[in-house]
Amino acid sequence: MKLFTINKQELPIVDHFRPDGSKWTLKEKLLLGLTFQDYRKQFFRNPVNWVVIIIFLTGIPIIIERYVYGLASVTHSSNDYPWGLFLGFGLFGMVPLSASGFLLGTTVELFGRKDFHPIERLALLNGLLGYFFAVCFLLVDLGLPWRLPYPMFVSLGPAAVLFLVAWHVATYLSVQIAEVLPSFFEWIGWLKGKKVIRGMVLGLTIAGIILSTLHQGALGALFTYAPGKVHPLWLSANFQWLHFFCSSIFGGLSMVIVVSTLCKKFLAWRCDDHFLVSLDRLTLGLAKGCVFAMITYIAIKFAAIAHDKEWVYLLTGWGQYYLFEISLAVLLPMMLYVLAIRKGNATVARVAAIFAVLGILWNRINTCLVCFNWYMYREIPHWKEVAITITVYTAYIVTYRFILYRLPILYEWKGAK
Amino acid sequence: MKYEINHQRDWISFILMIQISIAVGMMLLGFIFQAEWAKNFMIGVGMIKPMHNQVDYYTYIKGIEYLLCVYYFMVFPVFYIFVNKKKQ
Repeated sequence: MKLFTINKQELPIVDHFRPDGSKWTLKEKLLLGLTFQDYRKQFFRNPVNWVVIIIFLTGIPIIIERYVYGLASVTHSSNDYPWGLFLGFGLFGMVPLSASGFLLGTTVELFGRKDFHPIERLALLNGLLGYFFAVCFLLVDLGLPWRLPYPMFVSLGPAAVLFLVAWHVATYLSVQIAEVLPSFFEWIGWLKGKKVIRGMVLGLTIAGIILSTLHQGALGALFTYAPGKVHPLWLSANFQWLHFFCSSIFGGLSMVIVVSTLCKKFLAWRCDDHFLVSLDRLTLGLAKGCVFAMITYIAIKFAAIAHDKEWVYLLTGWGQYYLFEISLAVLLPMMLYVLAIRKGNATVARVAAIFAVLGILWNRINTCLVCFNWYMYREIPHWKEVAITITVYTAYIVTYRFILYRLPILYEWKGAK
Repeated sequence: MKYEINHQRDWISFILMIQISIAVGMMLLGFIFQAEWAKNFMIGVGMIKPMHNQVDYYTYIKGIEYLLCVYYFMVFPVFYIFVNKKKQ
């Protein structure tokens, strides 16, 4: 695509009209302004697409197998280990990394930090897709998608945390769709719809804060269902919701740093100058948010150990593993972030963000799988479970890329808006 | 926007950060290598001791947990200044 944007002056599409005054059709916009032959050519020239094709060819039949023969045919899940990779990685891991939507929405719309505007839409899209694919992971785990409305409308369980999570994720997903819709309306040229959404933006942002804060915490509260199963260092009945909420703040912000870095590296042709020029400054601004969340997270972690009187566990092998996790996933990125801010070096902040994002995933997998039933055997995920997880995550990346290629997320729409 | 380092250090925050780093580093090393002194330290300051009743428990909670919170409330502003400084 980069080659086409160099050779053709009218590409990439940033307006409803070509330089000669004729209008782009929807089909042309979908094909990025290329002919079908050119689009196919550039599709097969990209080696990433070949990897994606191989992953889908392997993974989709396994997903079909999961729906035809049931969960047992593709996972090692049992009553001992009910939450495998689908939920450990897909739901508990992806949701905190999608907190970016409400964080940047609040920063820009509520706190009036308009200097973060160039990255706001990317954060909102990251939030929307993260939640959407977390639900996809949940659907793969649950099966019977047509039964999904049951816990929400038919068989109500208002005393259950799962009831709260189901309602929050569903309503917050709707809020996020509404928040991303203005970019879509700009792209298709339906400005009336955008005006309606813009009128609701303050309400949507506040709804986002309430819903996101509650269900990030509620995901942590889910583990209080199994107090005897999760290792005491990873579970604190009183603080668990706070751990999950606080870690989602730096998780979400770090994810935006990682994604924006990838965009700058691989999608520079799609980014406008405003985005590219301001990215280093914005990265350092996000890094600041991360360090304050991280130091608070560490303090709450140790307060929880003190509260539950679990110091003695720190002297065991599990304690070493716990401190190893804290050091590598929180302390190290925090120090790197501080270094980056003090030196004004965005590259160091980007390295820190990678550690922080992997650290969040590691923490959630530890809580869900590694330290679950810590006094029993360890569950090793089935290879088909790994394959399905990679397939769904690849679908996430492909959708992300499809939207970034087209909608005005990384660039300002030049036409009427 | 350009950031520059001002080499005129704020010595108080600098020394405090060094102290915190050394303390955290020693704690981590002690725990990671399961040093005997780490265990003795925790027994010595009452982090590991038998609880006989709820009064023991609350005495302990009010001691260590409150101290941790007070320490956090002291460290956070210093950390905030430390991070935000040197921006011009």
